[in-house]
Amino acid sequence: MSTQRDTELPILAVEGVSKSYGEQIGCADISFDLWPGEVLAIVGESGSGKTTLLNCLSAQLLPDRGRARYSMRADGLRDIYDMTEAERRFLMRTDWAFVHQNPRDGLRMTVSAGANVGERLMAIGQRHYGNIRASAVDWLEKVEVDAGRIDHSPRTFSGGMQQRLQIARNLVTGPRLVFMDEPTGGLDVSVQARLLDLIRGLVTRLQLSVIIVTHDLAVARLLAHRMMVMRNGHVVEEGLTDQVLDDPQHAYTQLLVSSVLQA
Amino acid sequence: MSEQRDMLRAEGLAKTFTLHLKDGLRLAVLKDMSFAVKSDEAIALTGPSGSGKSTLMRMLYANYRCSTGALNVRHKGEWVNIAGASAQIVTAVRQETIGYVSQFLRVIPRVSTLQVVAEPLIERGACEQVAERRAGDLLERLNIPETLWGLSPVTFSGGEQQRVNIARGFAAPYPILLLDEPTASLDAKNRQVVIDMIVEARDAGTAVIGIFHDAQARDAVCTREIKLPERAAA
Repeated sequence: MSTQRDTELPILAVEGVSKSYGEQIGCADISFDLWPGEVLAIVGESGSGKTTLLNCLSAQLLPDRGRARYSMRADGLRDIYDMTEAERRFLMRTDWAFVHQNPRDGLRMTVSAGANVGERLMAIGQRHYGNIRASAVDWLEKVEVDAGRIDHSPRTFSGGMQQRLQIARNLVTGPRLVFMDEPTGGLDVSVQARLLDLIRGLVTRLQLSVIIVTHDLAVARLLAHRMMVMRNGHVVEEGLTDQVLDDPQHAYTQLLVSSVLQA
Repeated sequence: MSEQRDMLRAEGLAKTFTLHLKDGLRLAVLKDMSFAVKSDEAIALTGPSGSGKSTLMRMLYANYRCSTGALNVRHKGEWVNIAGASAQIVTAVRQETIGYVSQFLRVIPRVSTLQVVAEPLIERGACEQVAERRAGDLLERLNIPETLWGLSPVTFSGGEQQRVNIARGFAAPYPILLLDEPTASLDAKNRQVVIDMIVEARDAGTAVIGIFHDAQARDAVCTREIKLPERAAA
């Protein structure tokens, strides 16, 4: 993370975001700033509202109240909920990326690995086949997928490879803000470690700002500078990752931390 | 007069843990600690087991939050209170001003020893080559054979991990250095290397604060001690 932030704007400024499903609270009155180059983990158990919040922050779901202002490349902070649908879709294709827990939700399984990566480039107007293919090869290598598999369908890939391909597809357009929903969720432990290390390296090298939802405190410890703990739709504690995990203040955070099995 | 050389000032620091899972049991570990540490001083935190030495060290690194009090640190020429400071400020202070060598290295699978040691420099913006050269120099001085530099320290012995941890702590020239039993699991030869490194840092103007159960290391390094009282009954 850069230390020169006195003069900097947050990349995302969230104020009072709330979303209910009828009587059921999804998330309530969430406010925070995300800074350039910062990784923020949202942790909590199933039903805590972390996925609802992530979907609101990435404008896939519109909240009942609140605003989320994104620092546009050209014209400063703009509330994403005031944008037109077309503007939001454009952001999602260019400046933003979303890594789903299940790679099948983020990939097109009927086209080749190379096309999965190239498609996002074509969506922002690149037309030169050679350049697109070269970018695809470059990105497959960055995420440690053998470039010889470029013409294969992702259906023939293992779960870990699919997840790495999804990351390549997302990062090829050089996004500044990446949303991740349990990116290591369904993977074997050894595959998880490799993926976490890969994500960690890419985030540092590309200075990405990331909001990552996870129920795994070890993932938060490894990747996140800062974390928020959610319960029943509310943020019950937030702070630097090591502060929250080593000196938890809230009863629920103490329960979460004390419930982790030591391997 | 000498206040100009103060690097850190603790005023009325206290720490009480509230254990919500134990019916809200409150443990008052530290009460009303006030002290200042100057550039080129090395302070030994002493006191009986359970008096809160490690807790205080973690508070000085803003790893544990202070229940009350102020913890002012001279950061880039300005005083910053890191007790209750925002994550951004604490991160900046940790990057530039306060280094911390914990007792145990937190290893990350697949990250090489050289990268573990170079990381604090890279985070400050050093180029990879410069950072890795510095990391290599430190590992060499601490007798970690070059054949191991490319491996993750996961499989290293306790003493090797501790030396990697020390190399990491010394990679960047922090004005304030916190050391939690830096010589605990080292043999005589490596202990002497670490003692020399701490003395050199101190003489170069670093404010050192440490816990040294090893009396020989403490005597060799420290210019003063701060004695923590036995913990009062809660």
